[in-house]
Amino acid sequence: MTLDLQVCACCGTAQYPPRSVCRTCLSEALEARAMEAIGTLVAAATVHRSLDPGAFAKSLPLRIGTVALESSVRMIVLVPRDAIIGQRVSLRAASGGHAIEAVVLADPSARPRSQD
Amino acid sequence: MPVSLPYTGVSVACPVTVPYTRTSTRSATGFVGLALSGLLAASGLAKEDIDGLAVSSFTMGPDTTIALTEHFDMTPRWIEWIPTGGASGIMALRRAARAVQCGDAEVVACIGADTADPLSFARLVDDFSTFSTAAVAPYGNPGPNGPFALITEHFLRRFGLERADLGRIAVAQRANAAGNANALLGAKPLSLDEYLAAPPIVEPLHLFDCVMPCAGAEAFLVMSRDRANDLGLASARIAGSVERHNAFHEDPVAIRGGWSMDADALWSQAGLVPADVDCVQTYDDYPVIAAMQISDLAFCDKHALSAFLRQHDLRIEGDFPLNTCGGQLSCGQAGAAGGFLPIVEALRQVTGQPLGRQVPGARVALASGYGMVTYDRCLATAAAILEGET
Repeated sequence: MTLDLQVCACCGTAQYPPRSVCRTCLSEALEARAMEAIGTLVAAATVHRSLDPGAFAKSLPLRIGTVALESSVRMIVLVPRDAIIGQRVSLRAASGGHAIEAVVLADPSARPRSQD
Repeated sequence: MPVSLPYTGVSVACPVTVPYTRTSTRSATGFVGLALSGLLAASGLAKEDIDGLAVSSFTMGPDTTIALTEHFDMTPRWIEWIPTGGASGIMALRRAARAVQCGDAEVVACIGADTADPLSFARLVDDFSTFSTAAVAPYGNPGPNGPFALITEHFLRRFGLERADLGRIAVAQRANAAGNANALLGAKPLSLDEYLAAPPIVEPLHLFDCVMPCAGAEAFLVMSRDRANDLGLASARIAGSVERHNAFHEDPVAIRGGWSMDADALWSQAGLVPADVDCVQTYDDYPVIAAMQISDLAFCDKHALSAFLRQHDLRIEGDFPLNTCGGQLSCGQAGAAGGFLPIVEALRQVTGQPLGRQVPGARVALASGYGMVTYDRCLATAAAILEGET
């Protein structure tokens, strides 16, 4: 499972949301790289009211969350209803739309990471 | 720890509020004009005496401060445009104070103003920042409620708070709004049970965690202390102030703002300690952000916040008066004027000019600001301590 992330060809920094230059070294040599995007679910919330109810009426309530990737990138993503804070997840493009979704990694030995 | 030079000889005066309305057909420029007119009436100055103009607004379309000089036939020798929303009031104060101190302007009008029609808030959110359009809207288009629900969920869990702790902030502020005719929700008492039973917006945020968008303006004047004395104005000095942007960007979820990076510098510059403050005016787009400022500005440790909020009375007559006009949670959020509300209310309390009830004996007030949720947190933070001079 991979996700296209913007990476700096000069210093290797990954960044999200995409920027015009590298957030670390300010290089313009940025490329979209298919990467395994693995991280930890650090916060979750449930959207009941949208500013665009017409577009999202059928998908509400919608669970969203913040995932902290190992590459020091943080992303707001769609989160499965049964995902637990602290679980390890992998990210991928959700079908039909511009969203990214988290998939809980099925590793029974993986213990939730501390939030601190 | 860098500490700025003191604001010697600079005074802040003439708190002005253009009454809030839920919606308005008046333009943002019209609200700025009414605020300016109010500043002239309050000070006795003529328009020509205002030689500095600092403005913040979201709804002036293509116009900025420079266009306003033509709208109002003014010829100032110093202008500022401060598009940082919730931090813009204190940032305007800081810039105006240095301009006056250095002689670049004699009297600076600082104004935050916005209009509101039923669609303007959705339009503003739709086009608020590059990042929010690309990376927040696809997730149910929750607006700022999305990122702040995530911040709230994480903050409650990590620091051992309950929803009721945040509810105490919302409920106390509603009580504080009771005497303030400008608070759009001031006539509607709020109980903790009602707060807890409110419908969910973006859980864990419920209805009374969210501000109501509205139209209005907030303003004040900055000038020399001598000028304020000559005009016979009740004024305040700036004991200390700080600002910081994009602090702690390495935190996966925001648990603190730039205030915690600069709190020591703020108290050091002021020569004061938190216990010296008679009332605290935080930015309050959401109760959790008010709680975050209380801890970041050194009133209590984050792990002690729950106990702090239970043990202190946040009402005007209480031992920790917080957002004494009702804050945005009870007044409404008049766009960028919401970023002026804390400093204007601080000025009102230390100069004895509240719209609602006076904090008994208030001499020192702290105001703080928080602006611009471009992705998952606000980037701009600022704080100032005002001390009444009369």
